[in-house]
Amino acid sequence: MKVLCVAEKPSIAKEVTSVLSGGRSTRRDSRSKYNANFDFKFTFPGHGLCDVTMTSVTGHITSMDFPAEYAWGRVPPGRLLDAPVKIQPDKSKLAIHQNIANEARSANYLMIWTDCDREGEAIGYEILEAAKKGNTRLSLSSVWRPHFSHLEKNHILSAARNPQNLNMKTVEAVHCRQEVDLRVGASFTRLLTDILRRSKLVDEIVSYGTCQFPTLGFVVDRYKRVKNFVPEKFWYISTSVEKSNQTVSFSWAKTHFFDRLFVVMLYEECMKSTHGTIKGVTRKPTSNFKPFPLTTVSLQKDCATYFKMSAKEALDAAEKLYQSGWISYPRTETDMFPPEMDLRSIIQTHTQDSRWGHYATSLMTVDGKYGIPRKGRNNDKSHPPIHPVKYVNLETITNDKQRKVYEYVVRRFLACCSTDAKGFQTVAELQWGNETFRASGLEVTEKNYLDVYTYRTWSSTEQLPPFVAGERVNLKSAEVKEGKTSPPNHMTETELIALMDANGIGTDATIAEHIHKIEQRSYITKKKTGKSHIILPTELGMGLIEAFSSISFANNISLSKPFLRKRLESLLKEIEEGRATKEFSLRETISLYKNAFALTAEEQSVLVNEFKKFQT
Amino acid sequence: MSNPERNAFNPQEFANKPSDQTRLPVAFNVIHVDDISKSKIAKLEEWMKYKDPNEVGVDRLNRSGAGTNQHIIREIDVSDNDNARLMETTSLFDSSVYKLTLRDNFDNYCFAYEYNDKLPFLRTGSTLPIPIKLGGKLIISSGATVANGALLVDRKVCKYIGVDESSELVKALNSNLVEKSINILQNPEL
Repeated sequence: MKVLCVAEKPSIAKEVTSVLSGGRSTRRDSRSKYNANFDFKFTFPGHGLCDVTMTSVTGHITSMDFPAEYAWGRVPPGRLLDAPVKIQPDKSKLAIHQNIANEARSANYLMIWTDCDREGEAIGYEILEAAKKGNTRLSLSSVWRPHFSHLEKNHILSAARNPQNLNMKTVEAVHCRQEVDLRVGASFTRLLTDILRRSKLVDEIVSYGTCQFPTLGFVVDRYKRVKNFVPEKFWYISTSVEKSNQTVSFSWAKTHFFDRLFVVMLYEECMKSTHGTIKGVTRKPTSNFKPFPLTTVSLQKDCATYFKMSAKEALDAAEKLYQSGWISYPRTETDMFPPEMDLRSIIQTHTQDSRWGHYATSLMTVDGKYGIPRKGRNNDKSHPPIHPVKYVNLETITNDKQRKVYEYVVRRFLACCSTDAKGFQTVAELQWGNETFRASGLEVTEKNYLDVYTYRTWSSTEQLPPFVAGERVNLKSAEVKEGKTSPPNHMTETELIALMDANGIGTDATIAEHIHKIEQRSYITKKKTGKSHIILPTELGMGLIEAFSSISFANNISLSKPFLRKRLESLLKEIEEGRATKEFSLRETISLYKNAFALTAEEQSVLVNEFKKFQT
Repeated sequence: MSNPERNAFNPQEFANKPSDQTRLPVAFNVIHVDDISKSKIAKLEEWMKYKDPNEVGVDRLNRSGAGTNQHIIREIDVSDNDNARLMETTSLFDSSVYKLTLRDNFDNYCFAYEYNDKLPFLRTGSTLPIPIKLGGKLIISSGATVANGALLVDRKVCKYIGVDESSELVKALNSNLVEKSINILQNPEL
């Protein structure tokens, strides 16, 4: 019995081979320079000892395109929304195709070791098609699909012994997404480029993408909000009390109002009372909650905040750590650990570390230190939250970004398995006339998870003097003060990632890519101001979004807002869940874009005029 | 003089008095309602959603998303911990305070502020920035506080009668309300 295993990347092939072969494999070069073949033996349940060859691909090996007669300039761009499409081997990956076909010749089964996500499932199907070129006996029924989320030995062995079927519904969803992206991307890119080139406004290709434009839209909207901001005045009552040689500022429970007369009237009502009264003093236990188990989006947001890494840099570093077998699969939406997961054994492996080993030991040995991780609301049912798989000494990780991300993943995991930080919050409530004011003091008593999760701070504040309920106090100051609203901050990568996630633009796996693409295409630029890195639209980016916004599309749709893409993402989910077909979803989506395309083509002059306004 | 329809409220009479009380019940029409806890820009964005959701910036979180079929996430709390998220869910209280522009039957205009109370007739669950149809009848009973010519009202002194749909005033005030409100907020000098 011969089994051909194919992994999504050479590094995964090597790691899985090492586990399944127990270190006893033979390496052979293949026609593809980077995709070696490994031969070894492995016992599959029900099939006995089998001859196994493990090889790999490098991501997708086919691509979707239009036939040559639909090349740029040969047909009007709008035709691409209806034109036939063909899936063909990626020209740069022909050697990989040939290698798979060759190795599949004598194979009885094909085992797909691609990442267990949407794209991984589709790549699995592409591998099957390539293998069938060399062995026509292979079909969907001879495909084994192991489900794995990290490269730890027992996990991989269990995945190999309990394979499932390739999920064709997921494959259909990916094909639908690919077709929409191709049709819409190509037609609008050609249309936009032709229009703007004819008007001598651009030389380069102006690329449209169904995710990239809404992403750019977020940046443009924020830029406009900052630019158009006009401060507004508000008014509030400010009070302070002196007690035990300490001046305590009390904040107005009503915060502030945008109406001076109203605040003055309330103040005048208060002024009828010559003194205030401490209505109550409460001292209550309070907590600072430990973080949720780590998702891709949280990882990207935190790496942007703590280490000023771009989303792509963070994900790239996490990918490398995963491929080295040190952390679990870094593309996950799940923020709850599966109940059967042995968290304590992971903690145990980290007790040896010089930085966090002492803390990990305390989780294992000191009563009350270990805490059951919080459960978030999301479970993608494919991968657990990102967590460390193997202990690695930080000194041995030479890449600076990977080292930071590994340390962060470990500290986050240990924090998840800790107890919340605890303290006491004292609140004194002051009554002056009809108005209530509050002052508070925080005393942190147990830092718990904060001892290991050093990225966060939660500190004690100045303590309140000993106020007593019913105590009459003289106000040291009481006045109506004027304030002004502050301008919003420019967009940061952290916020952009969060917005894309919340609006369904891209997936945890592709968010980083979309941001990277609009930067590469010079639609946005990143700038360092003080401690933060902000994202600004370029003139090109502003022009494109404002040009599209100037056209009134039917059905309330917009080509620069997130609604259309979000709708597609939910249709893809429906395909995966068997509630919609690929054909229906394509028809629905493309018809909306067709209408938008027709109007864009019709309103070219409006688009050009608006675009011009933003070019210097 | 107990018929509120026949009584007038002339704020000029109270202009120089820091605090006084109304002596007679007065019938008013509600000409305008304004939430003074919100900035102009926040109100403008709320109205814009009704005009065209595509014209509203999508760079912030819209926590309600109500009133449109396109729920936009427009603002995200990116504080570095999950505690803020928890705090948010526990602090969702009604912070609105309404200022009413009122007109009595003798064409006297005045302002009335909600004072230490939340007037139930203004909390109808409407998702529009103006929670009631304009032009409705409101009776303010005697004993309401008047400060600097403005009324400070609570539910004890307010009796909301509602709108007479056939009234020309109601039609005039509510027609094209979205456009009018946006125009006023965008051009405060109007």
